[in-house]
Formats: sequence, structure tokens, C-alpha cells
Amino acid sequence: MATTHSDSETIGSESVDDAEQSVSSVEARVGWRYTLAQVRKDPTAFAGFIIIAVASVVAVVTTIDAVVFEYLAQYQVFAQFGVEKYWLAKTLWMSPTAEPAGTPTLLPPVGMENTFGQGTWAHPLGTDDRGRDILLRLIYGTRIAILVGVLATAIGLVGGMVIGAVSGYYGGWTDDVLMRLAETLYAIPFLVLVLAFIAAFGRSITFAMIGVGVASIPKFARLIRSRVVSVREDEYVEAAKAAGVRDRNIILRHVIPNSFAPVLVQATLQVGTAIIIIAGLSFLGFGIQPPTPSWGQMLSVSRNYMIQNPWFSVWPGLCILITVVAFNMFGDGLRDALDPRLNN
Amino acid sequence: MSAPLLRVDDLEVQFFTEDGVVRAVDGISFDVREGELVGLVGESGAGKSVAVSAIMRLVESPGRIVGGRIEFKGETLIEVERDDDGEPYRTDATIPDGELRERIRGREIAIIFQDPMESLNPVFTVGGQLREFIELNRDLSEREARETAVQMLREVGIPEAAARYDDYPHQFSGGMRQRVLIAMALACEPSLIIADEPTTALDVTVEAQILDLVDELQERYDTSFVWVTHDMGVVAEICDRVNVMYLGEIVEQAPVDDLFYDTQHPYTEALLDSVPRPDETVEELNPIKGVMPEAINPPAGCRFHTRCPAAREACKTTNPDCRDVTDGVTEHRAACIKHDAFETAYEGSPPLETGAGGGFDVSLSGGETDD
Amino acid sequence: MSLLRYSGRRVVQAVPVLLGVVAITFALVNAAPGNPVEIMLGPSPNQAAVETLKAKYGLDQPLHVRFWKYLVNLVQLDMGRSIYYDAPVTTKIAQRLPQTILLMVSSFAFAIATAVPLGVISAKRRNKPTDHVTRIVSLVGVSTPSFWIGLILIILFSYNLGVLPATNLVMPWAHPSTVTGAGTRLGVLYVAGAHLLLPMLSLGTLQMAAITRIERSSMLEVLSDDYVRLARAYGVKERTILRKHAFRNAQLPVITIIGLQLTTAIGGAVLTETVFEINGMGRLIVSSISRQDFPVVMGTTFVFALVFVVGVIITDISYAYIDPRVSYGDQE
Repeated sequence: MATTHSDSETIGSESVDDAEQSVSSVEARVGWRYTLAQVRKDPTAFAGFIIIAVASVVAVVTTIDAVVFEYLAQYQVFAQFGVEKYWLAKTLWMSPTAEPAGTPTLLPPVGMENTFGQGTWAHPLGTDDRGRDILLRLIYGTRIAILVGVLATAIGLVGGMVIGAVSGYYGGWTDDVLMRLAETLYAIPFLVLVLAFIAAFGRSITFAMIGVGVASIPKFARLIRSRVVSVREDEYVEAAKAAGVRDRNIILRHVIPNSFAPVLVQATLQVGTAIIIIAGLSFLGFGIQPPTPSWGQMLSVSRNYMIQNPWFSVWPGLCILITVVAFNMFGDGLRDALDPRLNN
Repeated sequence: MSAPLLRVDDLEVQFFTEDGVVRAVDGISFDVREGELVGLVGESGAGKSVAVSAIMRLVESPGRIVGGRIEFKGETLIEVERDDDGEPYRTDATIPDGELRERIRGREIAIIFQDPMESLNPVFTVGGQLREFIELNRDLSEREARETAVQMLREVGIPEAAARYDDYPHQFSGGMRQRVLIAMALACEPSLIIADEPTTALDVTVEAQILDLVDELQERYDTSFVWVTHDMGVVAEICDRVNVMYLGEIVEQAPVDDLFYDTQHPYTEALLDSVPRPDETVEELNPIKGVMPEAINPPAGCRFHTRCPAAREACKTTNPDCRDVTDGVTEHRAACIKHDAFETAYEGSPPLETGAGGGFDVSLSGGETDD
Repeated sequence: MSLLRYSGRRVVQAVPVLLGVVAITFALVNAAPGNPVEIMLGPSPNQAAVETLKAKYGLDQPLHVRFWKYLVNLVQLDMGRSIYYDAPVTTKIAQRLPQTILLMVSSFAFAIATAVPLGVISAKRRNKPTDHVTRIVSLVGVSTPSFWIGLILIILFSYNLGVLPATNLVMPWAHPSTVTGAGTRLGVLYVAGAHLLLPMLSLGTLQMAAITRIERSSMLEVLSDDYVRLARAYGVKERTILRKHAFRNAQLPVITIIGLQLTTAIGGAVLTETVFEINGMGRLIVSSISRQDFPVVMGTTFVFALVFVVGVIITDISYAYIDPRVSYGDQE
């Protein structure tokens, strides 16, 4: 439905902007509510969504406990209340990184027995090689998995959107050059590219994250570009152009919101991939460094004790599996919810 | 009069969807005699394609044939009755799947689908596909089938047929592909060919060529046709008898001349009225008001009454079946209670207001809607 | 023949891409802070020693000159010298490449051989129990880290059951005298198979799951296409329709996905080699990064990209082989 222009004579930026806004807001509004309703109907997608929500909450809480409290502890105002790193964990249970003296190492889960002793409820999933509780470390490992996965994907998404939108919209040799660049980047296998990146810049989790992000740019760029190219031909863009709307605005307000659907699906699935890759990097020793808990790193350590305490190897992998399955289920559900509409 | 080649009796096909049961075909009856070309005409969504796919039991889930009887050359292709719980079931008279596949499909009845672009398998050569069907349905050896295939391609007017035999579908234009599909149908020498809107996806000049071709071939091979279309022009050109469908029902049935010059149903009238004629200048076009309702929730009584210019109160409560309206003079049937054949109080009933529905107007002037 | 020309075209197109890869790797490696020479010599090295070594590795020349030299050498199969091993990079890679290739090829073979039938059956028995189970298993398979599968497999089969070895690969063509427990050529094959089984399963599971999913959805799509309906209408048997008419077309998206899976598979190979302590290129690149042995890092990155590009070209050619529309571009 067209908006009502007050005067057709005032082709000033105001009335044009109004037109833009109402057009784009109509487009966007039709999408979200319907999509979410569709997802809610689908049991697997909904289950995935719940798991992601829970994991995110855990990630946020643990990040606050680890990072924010550590930061706040610098200030007397907070320190006097006992605020410090892992304050929450310590109050409720214990620090995930402390190595309490006297705690047996490599305990099996509760109800089982191995050469190191009996499993107890004090450590329901057992202890690691330094006597730290596994369950607690798994919970705190969520933080790394989710945060780094999401941030890395965000980097790829934003980078890919910029490159893809510019490339698709302007065409010509900008397009050629950018796509050649993307193709070349894409020709280096994902993990290998990230490894090369880490080799160049350093073995910290930050560079791992940026590396994963940069490596995922080509995929997003290609996706956005193809959507932009098809949307570019659409009539309302032509109309906007004819009305004199600036290129940048066209891209931002028309082209990108309408490319969102497949991009969102891709992003969700990509977070799952990123989580596995990051875990792999930690497994290789290139990710988060101990004592900060991370699932990949825990798996790496567990390798040395496969015979003595095989259960140590089971749990971190299981956590990765469940989290990634959740992202895949949700992503698939999103794709199904958005797909028939895309075809319409 | 000898028995008809094909007889469809009270056919009912329904689709069981999430949103409800769609009564796509709601009790239609018609027949096809030897050597005739019977048209099945109506707007998109009237149920024509579903109806003809039911003939060879090609209705795909979530659709099901839930009632009626289809007879071909004395054999029961399908007969569905309802049991004590009202559940439809196929009677024993229905020929089994294996026999349908081996004896009827391709051999006795062949079908041509609407979209020539999609109907041919893109990864096999055109000749190969043609040969496969010929081999299957005419019991020829591979070599003989190949020769027949090339011969058939020549007959439908494909230049350099022998060379083109080894080409792939994407190397043919739309019109050429449709000719290939016609060749497929004819090559199997069936008694009946079902053509489901074969010229809809082609442009007018190509369509004319195809129609000429079909005319020629029909004379030569004496094949019967069921021709589905939404184009009254095509009907006028090639049909011997016509069935007009609306929302899952046949509303008028007549020889082609009678249909055009002695129209008996308001819907048919409105259709003919809506077609723009190049030899007349008109003040404005005359589309049928409103939009055809969804088959999931058809109007009560006569299904057309919501858009009918001749509607009366009585039309809301009676759903007429198709009856002879010329006292046996010609074989002309219509499903409208304004005729004497129906003993209803049509005359006494007050007229109904049927303004334009809340949408856009529709006509049969050749516009394809992708429903 | 058009297919040949298409293949040739793809190969030619790959060259500038590979050039770009070298450029990117070169840029990355040289963006690295820190000087490998200084790393080698330890903290506060003797300046003269630094200069000598720099000259030896050509690090004293400007960037573009070094790049050009690298390219020229690359074409002659010279990728420099490993700082750590003090041997030509090419030699090290040649030693390690066969293991990686064996691992990758066998895992793909396993994946395709199991996934294609599984996907077809799943499509045929849509919404029946077999289908549901397959779908769940593939979803899980796609979401599982391959190195974890490897660990679990080792725990189960090597330690608990003691049936299969946990480390190393034996090449099937190795001489019997070099292989413990194998007296004959056949024995070598047997031992090689035993060593290969767990890594192959570990790496192949993810590919298998991904391929099963696409095979299933592709078959379902194709089965509702018009030409399938037509074949049915002409009396073709359902089995023939599945096997001939639908199957070929359905493979097209599958081949595309396999191409996309290659990049994940290579990453997976790196991790699998680490888990199973296989001396392939994966372990080489990982250890080289730790040692900051940049010539090796560059060389292995390039070779990985090369393997990937070759794999993609093979899948593209397979696609063109099935789909005539790709190579026979002509339309009437």
C-alpha cells in the first residue's frame, strides 16, 4: 500500500524519506512476526531455540562473573564487598580455575570407579587432571564457545555484508575485483586459512576469533551479493532511484533488509561451524589458554588420560555437540520458515 | 450409439491439507467418444488438471480420489465407494496398479503436460527419452524404437530429426519441446491423449502451429483427445464437444457450436463475454466480477451464484447438477436452475445483488495466473 | 568434446586463483610480527649472526622482490627451506602428502558410499521410522566435532576392545619388511586397513551426514518434478524411475555440496591427524606454526589450497558430466 504524500510538489528529502521509511518498514514488518510464529510451530527448531537461549544466558552470566567482576574488582567501591573474578562461582560452589589441594584428580563421574577413586556427588561429572570440577568448567566453557562463535560470525557477517552489498550494487570492476578476492580467500581451506592467520598474528583467542571471522567473509559476501543483484533489479529500487534517493540509502534501507532472510539462516548455521572450529583450534593449542576453561582445550588435555579416565573425554565433546545441534536445528527451522515466503 | 471410449462418472478428488479439505473435483461426469476432441475449459483453480490426472490415477498426495468411476474401453480404471463409516475405498472392479501401468499408461492413454520446459528430463537426450517410452509401450526392440522415434520427430515437424535425436532438451525451444511431447504421445499409438494446457506456456504464433499440427495428426491417427485449456479461442478452434468447469464442477456440457451460439449457463456466457475480440472495438472490457472462491470453502448452493449476474435467492440454497436443457434435441446440459428442467422456484425468487467481490476482476483473456 | 574443453577451462581458471593464494599467504606470513630468524637464534642475538641468516634466507631483500623470487621458485617446485628441519620444504611436504591424501580420499569414499544409498532410502521411505532415524543421525553427525569422534572411537576400539590401532597410518603400498605384523603384500593391506579404519570413520562421519541430508532432500525434490510425473504417466516402473530418471538429476546438488564439503574436510583432516598422530600435512602445518617455521607454513598452506582447488575442479567436471547444460552451452 502506498503511503499518502502530503504534496507531490515537495520532492524534498523529507517526503522522499517518509516514502522510504514506510516502504521499508512495511517490508520488514511482514517478515518477523510471521517467521517467529512458524518457528514456534516446528518442534525441533523450537527446541534448538530454547537450548540456544539457555546457553546464551549461561554465557552471559559466566562472562559477567569472569570478566566484569574481574574488572570491577579493581575498584575499591566493589572490592570491599568481596567482588572479584569468579565471585558468583565461588559463592555458589567454587572457582572453576582453582586447584584446591587435596581434591583427587581425574575422578570418574558419580556412580563409577576408576584407579583414582570413586565418583561422588561433590563432583557429579568427575574432576580433571588438576582436580578441578568438570561440570563447573563445562558451564564456564559455554562462555567461550558462544561468545567467540557469535562474535566471529558477526565479523564475517558484517564484513561480508559490506563487501557483498557494494559488490552487488555497483557491479562493474568493483564487483570483479572484490569477487576475485573473495574467491581467492575461499580457495584456502577454512581451518588452514585460520591457522595461517594465527601463524601470522599470534596464538591468542582474539586472533583465532578474528581469523574465523575473516575466513567466513567470502561465504557471506557471495550470499549478500547474489541477493543484492536480484533485488537491485526490483521495481521499488528503481522507483527509489528515480525519486533521487542516494545510493547509500537505497542499499541500507531497501536492499539489505530484503536480503536478510537467507543471511540470517546462514549466520545461524555459521555460528555452529564457528563453535566447532574454535573448539578445534583450542584442541590444537591455538585458542584460549589455560586455566580459562574451554571445551576444546579440555578435550585436548583429556587425550593424555584416555585410558585412565575416558569419561573426561566424553563431556566436553557432548557439550559441543548439543550446542551445535541446537544452532543447526534452529537454523534449519528458520530456513523452512523463510523459504516458502522467499519463493512467493 | 456405441459405448464411449472414456466415461467419467461422478468423479470426486479431494486434497487433505493442513488448512482443511480441498474439494478440488466435486462430482463431475463426462465422456469421450472415439475420434473426438473433448475440451475441458475453465479458469485457473477450477480443478481441470486434477480431474484429468485422476483418469490415470496420477493424483499425488495430499490428493486422493474419493469417489466416482472412470471407465475406459469397458475396463474400470478406478471405482471408489464409501464404506459404512463413510471412508472411501477402491472397489475390486478397479484394475490393479501393475496392470494400469503396463497396459493403460502410455499404451492406451498418453498425457501431455502443460510446461514443456519441465516435462523433459534435462540430463537425457530427447531421442533417448522418446525411444524409452516407445520401447516400453509398443514392444519394439531398441533399434526399431529408435527408428520410430526419429520418424515421429520428423512427423511433428522437427527439422533434421535424425541429428536432433541426440540433442538435449535445453537445446530446443519451447515450441519444439512441445512438439517432442506430442511426438511422445502419438508415438505410443494410444487411443486417447490427455492434453493438459499444452499451449498455455507458448506464445500465440507457436500455439497456432501446434494446434494445426494436432488437427492434422488427429485426422491421420483418429486419436481421441481430452483437451484442457482456459482459452476459449482454442476451444472454438479444435474442440468437438466442450465441458465448462467451475470450482470443481461441470456447469455446462455441449457440442462446440451449441456452446458458443446457444449458451445456457451464465458462467459460460460471462466467459465468452469477457474475451476481447480483435474485430470489435469496445468501450471497456467485460470481466467477470469478483474472483473464483477457494475450493476449500465453496459457496453454498450454486457455486457461481456469488458472481452471477442472473442470480436469485433460490440460487443460494440449491446446488444444481448438470442436466439436459434442450429436451433431448441436442446433447446440451447445464447446471443452472433458471431452466425448466429444474423444478425450482427460480422465477418467483427475488434477484440477488452480486457486486464485485473485494478483489480484482478476472477474465479468460489469456492471462496466466500462477496459482 | 565439450566436456574436455570445459575441463581445460576450469584448470586454466584455477591458475590465477592459486596465484592469489600465494600472494595472500605471502602477505600474511610477512605481516607477522617478529622475525623468524631472531626466534631461531633466541633472545638478544648476535647482530652479525642475524644478518648472515637473513641473507641466507633472503630476508634482507624488499618485499616484492622476495615475492617474485618465491613465485619463480614455486614454479620450479622449490618452496624454500624449512627453518626447523633444515631441509627443503618440498621434501617435507612430499613425505607427508600421501598420508593426508589417503586419509581424505578414503573418508570421502566411505562417506559417499554410505550416504548416497542412505539418502535415497530415506527419501523413498519419507516420514517413516527409517527416515526419521536417518534424519536425526545426520543432524547429529553434521554437528559433531570430528576430533571428538576420533577420541571416542579410540577409547572404544583401541583401548577398551583392543581391536584397532590408535595411531599412524600404514600406506597400502609399503613394503612388507617395513611393516610390523605383516609378512606379505596382503598382510600389509590388512594392517594398512586396520590403521586407516578409525581415522577414516572419524573424518568421514561429518561428510556422510552432510551428504545424506542433501541426497534425501534432493531426491524428494526431483521426485516431484514434472518429468518424473511424465515417466510415471508413460508406464515406467517406479523402481526404474527412482534409479534412472530421478537419481541422475538428484545428484547435481549433491555434487555441489561435496565441493563445499571439501574445505571442511581438509580442516577435519588436520584435526584427525592430530588425534591419531598421523604424520601427514596436517600435523606438519600445526607443528610449523608452533615453531614459527614460516617457509613450511607457506608451503603447506599453498599445497592445501592446491589440493582443495583440484578437488573442486574434479567435482565441477563431475557435475558437467552429468548435466549437459553446463558444457553444451548452445541453445536454439
